[in-house]
Amino acid sequence: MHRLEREAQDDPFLMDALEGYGLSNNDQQDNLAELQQRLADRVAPKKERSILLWRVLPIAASLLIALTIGYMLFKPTSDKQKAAMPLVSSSTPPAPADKVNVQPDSAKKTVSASSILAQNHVPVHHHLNRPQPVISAPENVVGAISSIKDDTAAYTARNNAFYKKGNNNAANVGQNIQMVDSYGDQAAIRGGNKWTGANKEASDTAKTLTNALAGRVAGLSANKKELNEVTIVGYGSVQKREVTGSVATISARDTVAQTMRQAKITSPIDSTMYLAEVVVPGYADKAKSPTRPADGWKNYLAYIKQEAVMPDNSVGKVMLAFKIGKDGLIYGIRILKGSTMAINQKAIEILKNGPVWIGSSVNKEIKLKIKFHKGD
Amino acid sequence: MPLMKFLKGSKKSLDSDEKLLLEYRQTGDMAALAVLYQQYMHLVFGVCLKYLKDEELSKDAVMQIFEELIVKVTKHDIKQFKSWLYVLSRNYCLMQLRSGKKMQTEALDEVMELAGDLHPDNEREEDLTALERCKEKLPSAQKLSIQLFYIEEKCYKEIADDTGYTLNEVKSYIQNGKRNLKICLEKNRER
Repeated sequence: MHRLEREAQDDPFLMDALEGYGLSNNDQQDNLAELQQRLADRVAPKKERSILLWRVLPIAASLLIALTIGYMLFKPTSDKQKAAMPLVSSSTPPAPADKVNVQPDSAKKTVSASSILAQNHVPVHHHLNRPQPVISAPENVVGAISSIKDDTAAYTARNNAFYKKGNNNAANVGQNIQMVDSYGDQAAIRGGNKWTGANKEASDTAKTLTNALAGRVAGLSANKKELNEVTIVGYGSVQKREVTGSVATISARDTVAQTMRQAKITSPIDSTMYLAEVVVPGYADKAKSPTRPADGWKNYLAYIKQEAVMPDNSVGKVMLAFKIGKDGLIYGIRILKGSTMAINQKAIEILKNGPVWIGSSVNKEIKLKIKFHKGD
Repeated sequence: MPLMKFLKGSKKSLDSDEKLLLEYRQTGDMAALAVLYQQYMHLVFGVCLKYLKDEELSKDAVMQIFEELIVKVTKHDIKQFKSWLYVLSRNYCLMQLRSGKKMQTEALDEVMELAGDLHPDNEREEDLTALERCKEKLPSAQKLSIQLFYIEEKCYKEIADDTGYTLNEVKSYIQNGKRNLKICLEKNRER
């Protein structure tokens, strides 16, 4: 100890250090050993590389998996499409129901052939799977979509039982088409999709589409333009605020459920809190719509809710579309999305027998969703 | 005794310091710097303990000082690594304290001489007698402390116990005694 102190006399560094150690009674050997280790770690060169590698590996792995999935989604469509096409075009049996089915089904099928899927917006994708006959814009856009699944073919076939083919109701169809966004038409025809490469397939698709559409859907003129580059304009994942005849606001949830369930038709969605929901196109707040129930929305919806019970207590949801004439009479009722035959029937009756409406000069189609529930 | 490592032949390590510094400057290999630092790490740690008083803080400080070292070694021209490191460490600790309280730092460029290097070892005989005479001239407390410390080779604690002075007083006496002796010897040499 003396020696240290002696040396410290000449070495201020040592002097200070000794003072520091003198402050505590603990042995500092462990601390010094730890410091040695930390210094060694600090200077060690190689570790950086392995850390980098660790980060890169999971990223690479996920990329690979994503690519594989993408590829798998892509590939099957080209095979299945050929199977689906003949199936659809031959399924023409007219059904006795009085709903409208429009060709877009076949249109859908053919256009979707183009393996455009992966590049589409998801919402568009969803639409395809709907069995909807609807002519509204997004449906056509749907044409441009995703995977054709065999389910969809079956789906459509099954729904044909509910819906008539478009031929007979061309007038209706024509009417309805007019209110559709123009791009919607175009999108259907063009197959609304951004797609680089594989142009041949695209033009083939365009041809088949034109054939399929020819003469079937009034008001739609097939555009024979080559599918070189197609874009879906304005159909992002942001929902439209103004509903201009599109199903966007309502159907989103349905279609999501659709894709989840792959062709299961009755797909009750738990998220709906309302047993009846009405959308009046052009009016985000339906209270402002000139076309409305005479007794007010509140009472109307209450009536619906009260009536929406089946004798056998079955549950289901029905989406109806209809128009109110200037005189307040309901016309042009159609089922956008149905449940069972019985439930659909009942829904229509509820609508017909319901409170009277006040019409206006504005004749946009109103959509109504009725959720059937069990009685008390 | 664990602290024995503190005792080093000062000349030897200074040469090797130079070598290691040079090696780092040339190759940029941090390992050389690490070896150099390790030789003084215990001193740096001690200094940090003195100022920061906390073991964990001191450990972190030691590592931080190393980081500063890496940067500054290339920037400054360092004549005496040990003293330069001492000043660096002390300044770092004072800065740390300042962010807590408010304290002054000392200029980094202070170069402190290590007394061991500078004392020429010739003319011993004459010096010894002169030294004896000068010692006799010291104030009693200083004389006693010097006697006990240098001649009888006692520790501060022992001296404190023997004399009844506090530890700080002992240190102070020794320091002042040394200074007075130095002055006296210089006067002596001038004659």
